[in-house]
Amino acid sequence: MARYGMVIDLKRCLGCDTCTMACKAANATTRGILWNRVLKYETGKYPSAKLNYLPVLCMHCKEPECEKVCPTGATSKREDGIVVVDNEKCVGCRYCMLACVYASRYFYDEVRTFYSGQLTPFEQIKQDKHRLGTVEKCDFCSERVQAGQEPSCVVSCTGHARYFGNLDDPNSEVSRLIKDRGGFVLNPEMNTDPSVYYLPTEQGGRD
Amino acid sequence: MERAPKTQEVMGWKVAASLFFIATGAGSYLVGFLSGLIDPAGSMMLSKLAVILGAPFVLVGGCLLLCDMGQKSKFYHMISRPGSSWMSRGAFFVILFLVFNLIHLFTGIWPTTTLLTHPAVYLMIGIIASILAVLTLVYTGFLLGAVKAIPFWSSSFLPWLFLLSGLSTGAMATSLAFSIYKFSGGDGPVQHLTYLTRFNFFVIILEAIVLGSYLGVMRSRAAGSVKMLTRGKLARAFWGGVVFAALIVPFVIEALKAFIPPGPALLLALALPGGIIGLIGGYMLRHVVVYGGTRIPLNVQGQRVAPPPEKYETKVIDSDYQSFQKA
Repeated sequence: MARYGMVIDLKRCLGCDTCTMACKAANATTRGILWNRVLKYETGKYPSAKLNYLPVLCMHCKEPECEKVCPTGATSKREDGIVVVDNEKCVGCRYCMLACVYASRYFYDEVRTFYSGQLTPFEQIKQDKHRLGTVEKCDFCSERVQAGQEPSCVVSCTGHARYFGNLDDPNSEVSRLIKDRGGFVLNPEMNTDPSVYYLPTEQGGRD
Repeated sequence: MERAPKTQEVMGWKVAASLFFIATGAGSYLVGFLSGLIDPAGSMMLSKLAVILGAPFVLVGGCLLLCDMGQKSKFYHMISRPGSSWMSRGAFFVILFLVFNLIHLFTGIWPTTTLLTHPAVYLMIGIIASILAVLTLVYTGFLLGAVKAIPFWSSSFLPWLFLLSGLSTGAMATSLAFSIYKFSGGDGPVQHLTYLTRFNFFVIILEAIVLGSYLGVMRSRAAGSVKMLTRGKLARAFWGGVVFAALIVPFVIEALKAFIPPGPALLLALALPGGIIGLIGGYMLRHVVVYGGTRIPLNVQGQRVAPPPEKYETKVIDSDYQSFQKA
């Protein structure tokens, strides 16, 4: 069975937030909730300060802290490595939100629409993916993946910075990129073994 | 630009208050049962009051937790994984403690006292409820301690701190209830309050030592949180609510009551302000621990980046809607 993962090339990321909006459009999350975000941070000091972009989403960890603390078993890890939340089982205690090392879980506490109290027809169709009073997060667009497509953030990325594939296959594009370009994960000290890797901004990988 | 790491916003005052009420309920039951065991005749009223206080306090705490949940009607799912999650274990302990506390209450105090005619059964129920009370007191420490993403909570001191604080607030709630009972013309000797006072006096000393050690260790592991408590936005709550209300005031009052016996009337009168201020302090301790939790930053190859906020504030401009409708 494949272990799905993502590689994000920080050198190619423009910080345009197209992925953020593509994710929102694909999943119709409520106003204020973004499963995918692009953080901005500064490195260096004037006159050589640099603005960097860091797209973040659920890391689909191999050892997910959120799954360990879930009191109902609503959070589970599928065989293909995608961490999912069963909103029928979730009781909305939000313990998983605290436990997530990457703060990539969101509580759907109220319906906040964009158009004066109305859900758009598209949002209405997508409502089965959301349940009020439960925790939700990125699921790598699992319905798209099941249909043989890539997640919407990957296909929409204007800078072609995102790659999606099987981490367990050493010949896959994602595995090769990680190996060749020195892919790294966020917070490796937490031993969560994330499935989202980043390629460094500087050519040549890690120093 | 992302701001500096800030306190977690997932848990708030409802969780802090529920931790306080549950701990006070479990603590007062424990204090009451032990008092009754040590001196059955002398402390009968005090012991009864403590056992009576246990269930309502725990119920209020449980209701607050329930209010904080997104799917309240599914709360029973919470006990489905006691083998793996501290949240599940905690719910299990609280429910079982409540059941045994209510058995003790309804068969040993009111409406019947049949339990007292079977000392072995009484002892067994009391011991089981007391063990569950201890587990109820310590589980909150383990619950927060399991959150590795918040270093301020990830400490082995927290279960001890919550155990001692729960015993202290339980003793103070019992003293307070006993004083109100006596002032409203109730029977029963006042002397036993002195034993409870001495017990609480030593518990407060231990609590201060554990709190000091906890913050001492956290100065290096969660410096931001400790700074927030001692000099930052939680400084008033910490110095005024925890150090003054939970430790200094109860310590001074309990010392006066325990070692310079001021006579029954003054003893009872001192228990009132001591109890009220001490209970406020018990809440404030949980308040600063909950609100002092700061998430670890994202580690991007050694570069620290603030984690994303839990929610983005967005505005809907009504003219957008009008133009949407026209279109």
